[in-house]
Amino acid sequence: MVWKEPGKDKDPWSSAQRPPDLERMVKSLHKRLGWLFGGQRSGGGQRHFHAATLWWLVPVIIAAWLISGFYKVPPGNSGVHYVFGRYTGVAEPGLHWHAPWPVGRADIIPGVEGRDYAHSYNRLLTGDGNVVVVDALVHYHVTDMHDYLFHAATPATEPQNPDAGAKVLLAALVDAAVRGAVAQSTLANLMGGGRDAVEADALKQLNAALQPYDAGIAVTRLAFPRVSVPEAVSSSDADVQGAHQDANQAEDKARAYADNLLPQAQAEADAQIKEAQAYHDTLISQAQADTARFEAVLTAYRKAPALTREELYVQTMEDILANADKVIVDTRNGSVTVQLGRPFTSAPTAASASAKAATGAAPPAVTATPAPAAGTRGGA
Amino acid sequence: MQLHRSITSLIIAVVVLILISQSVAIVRQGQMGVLLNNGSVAQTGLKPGLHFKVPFVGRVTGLDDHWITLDGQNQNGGNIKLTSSDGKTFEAAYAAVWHITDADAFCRTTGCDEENGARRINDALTPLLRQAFAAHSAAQWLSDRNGALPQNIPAELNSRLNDLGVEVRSVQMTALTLPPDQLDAVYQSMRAAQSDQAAQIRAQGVAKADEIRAQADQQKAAILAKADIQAQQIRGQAEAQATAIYARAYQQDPEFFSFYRRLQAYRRAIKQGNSVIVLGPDSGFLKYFDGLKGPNAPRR
Repeated sequence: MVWKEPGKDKDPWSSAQRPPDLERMVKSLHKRLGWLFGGQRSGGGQRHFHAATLWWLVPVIIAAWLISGFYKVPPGNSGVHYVFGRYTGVAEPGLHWHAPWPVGRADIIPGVEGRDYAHSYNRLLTGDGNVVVVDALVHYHVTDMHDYLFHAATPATEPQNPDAGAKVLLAALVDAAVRGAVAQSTLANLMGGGRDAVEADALKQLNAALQPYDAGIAVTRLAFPRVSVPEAVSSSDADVQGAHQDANQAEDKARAYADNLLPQAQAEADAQIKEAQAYHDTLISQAQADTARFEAVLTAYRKAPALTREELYVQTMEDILANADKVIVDTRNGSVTVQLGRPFTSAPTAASASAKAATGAAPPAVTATPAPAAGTRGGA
Repeated sequence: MQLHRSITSLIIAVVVLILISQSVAIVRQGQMGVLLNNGSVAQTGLKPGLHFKVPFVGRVTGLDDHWITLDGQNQNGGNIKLTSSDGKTFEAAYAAVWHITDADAFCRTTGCDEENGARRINDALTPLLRQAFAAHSAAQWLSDRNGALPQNIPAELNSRLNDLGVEVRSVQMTALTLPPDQLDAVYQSMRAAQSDQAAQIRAQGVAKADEIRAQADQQKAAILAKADIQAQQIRGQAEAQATAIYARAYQQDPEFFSFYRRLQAYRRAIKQGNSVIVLGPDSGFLKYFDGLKGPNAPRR
C-alpha cells in the first residue's frame, strides 16, 4: 500500500495531499467568516479555526432563547401557559414569562369576562303550525378556565383556538334549546308579550343540557332580539300592522269627535240656560217696571179718577194713531173718506179725493162699520 | 484534523438532536396520548406533558380527552330527511355529544382516527333517528313531542357501538323543519290567517270608533236635555213671578188695572209695523172731530 511505504509515515489524507477542492472550500469559508472567528490565525492557520472563538455566541443565543419566553396578556384577556403541553395555569393581564419553546408555551384567550353568541334561525316551526325567523343572542362568561378550554374537544378545523370546542358545544346546545322552546310556543306569543316566557324556557333547556359537560361557562342571558315572519309572509304581516294603524286612526278620529262634541254641547246648554235667564230677568223687570208705573198712575187715579182715565185714553190713542195708517169714515151722510197720513200701499191711486161711497163704490178693502157706542170704557 | 473533528462533531450533534426529538413526545392538555410501536397500541392513557418513546419505531398520537360534539350537518353534508308515521317528511339536523372511554378499543377499531370514529357513530345513529321518527305522526312531533328525541336513543346507540370504546352522552335535535314544497302550504295558510286578522282588527277599530261616537252623542243629548229642563224651569219661574207681580198690582184695583193694562197692550201691539185703523164717527176719540166742519160746529 502506497501510504504504508517505509519512510513515508504519512496518511495520504494528510494536509499535503488533501483533495484540493475541499481545501479551497474551507479556505473561502474561513475567509468569509474570518471576522467571526476573531482573526486568530497562525501561519498555516487557514486550515483550522478556533472553535473556542464561537463560545461568546452561546450566551447570546441562550439569552435570546430565554427572552422569547416573555409574553404580555392584554387587559380583558387571560393567558394560559403550558409546560411540555401540560396545562400549568392561568395568567392575569400583564407581563409574564413562560419557559421558552420547546419546553413551554402560552395562549392568549380573549374576552373571558363576557361573550356573546348570536345566531339567526330561519324556518323554525312553532307549536301552532307556523314558521318564524328568530334572531337569538346568548351571553355567557367563563367560570373555570381549565374546564372551558379542555372539557370540550377542539374541532379539527380550528386547532389554533383552544376554546373552539366549547363554542361548538354551546352552539349545538343553543340550537337545540331555541328550537325546542319555539316549538312549544305559538306565533302570537313569540311576536308579542309571551316572548319573555319563551326566552326563559330556552335558557332553562340550555342550562339543563349544558349541565353534564362541566363546560366551565355560565350562561347569563338568552334573548330573542328579533322575531319575524318569513319573507314569503311579510306582506300580509305588513297588512296586519297597517290594520292596527287603521284601527287606531279610526279610534283617534272618534275620540277627537267626542272631545269636540262635549264642550260644544256644554256651550249650547249654557247658552240655552242663559237665554232662559235673560228671558227670566227681562220678564220680571218688565213686570216690575210695568207694575211700578201702574202704581204711580194708580196714585194719580185715586186722586182724580175720571180725569185720569180720560187723559190716559187720549194719550194712548194719540200715540197709536201717530204711527198708523188711518181711515176715518163718516157714515151719517153717505160715506166720506178722508185719508190722513200715508197712502195704502196696495191702492193704485194715490190720494184720492172725496168719493161718494155708494154701496157699490166702496174703496178697496175698506168697509165701514159703525163704531160701537162709547161707554164708560173708552173704545176705538 | 480539527476540521474533520468539527464536521464530525457537527454531524454527531445533528444526529443526537434528531434522536432526542424522536425519543420524546408531547401530549397536549385536553388529550390523552396513545403510544404506538410499529402501528400497534403499546400504551394508552398518557397524561399531558412530556413522554419518552423509542425513536422511529414509536409514535405518540393524541385522542381528545373529553366531550366531542358531532354535528349531523357536517357528517351528512346537510340536513337529513326524516319521515313520520303518517308519511310526512321533515328536514332535520342533530348533534351528538360523545367521548372516548376505552382508548384501546377505539384505536383497535378506528386506528386511533377520531374522524373515523365519528363517522361510525353517525352511521349507527341515523337509522335510530329514522326509526324513532317513524314511530309518531307529524302532528305529534310538532305539538306533543315538540321535536324532542326519545331519551333512550343514547343508550340504544351505545349498546350498538360496544366495540368502539365510546360513550354517547346525548343526542339533540338542533333543527326540525319542513321541506320547501310543504313550507309553501304553511306560508299560504299563514297569509290567510293574517288577512283574517287584519280584517278583524280593522272591524274592531271601526266598532270601537262607532261606540265612542255614539257615547259622545248620547252624552251631548243628556247635557242638552238637562239644560232644556233647567231653562224651562227658569222660564216657568219667571212667568210665575211676573204674573205674581202683576197680580199684586191688579189686586189693588182690579178694574183700573184692567183698563190700564189694555191701554198698554194696545200701545205696544199696534205701534209696531204698518197698521191700518179705521175710525168710525162714534169713536170716542173722534168725539170732537167733525171732519172739516170746524171746532164750533154743533156737537153731536
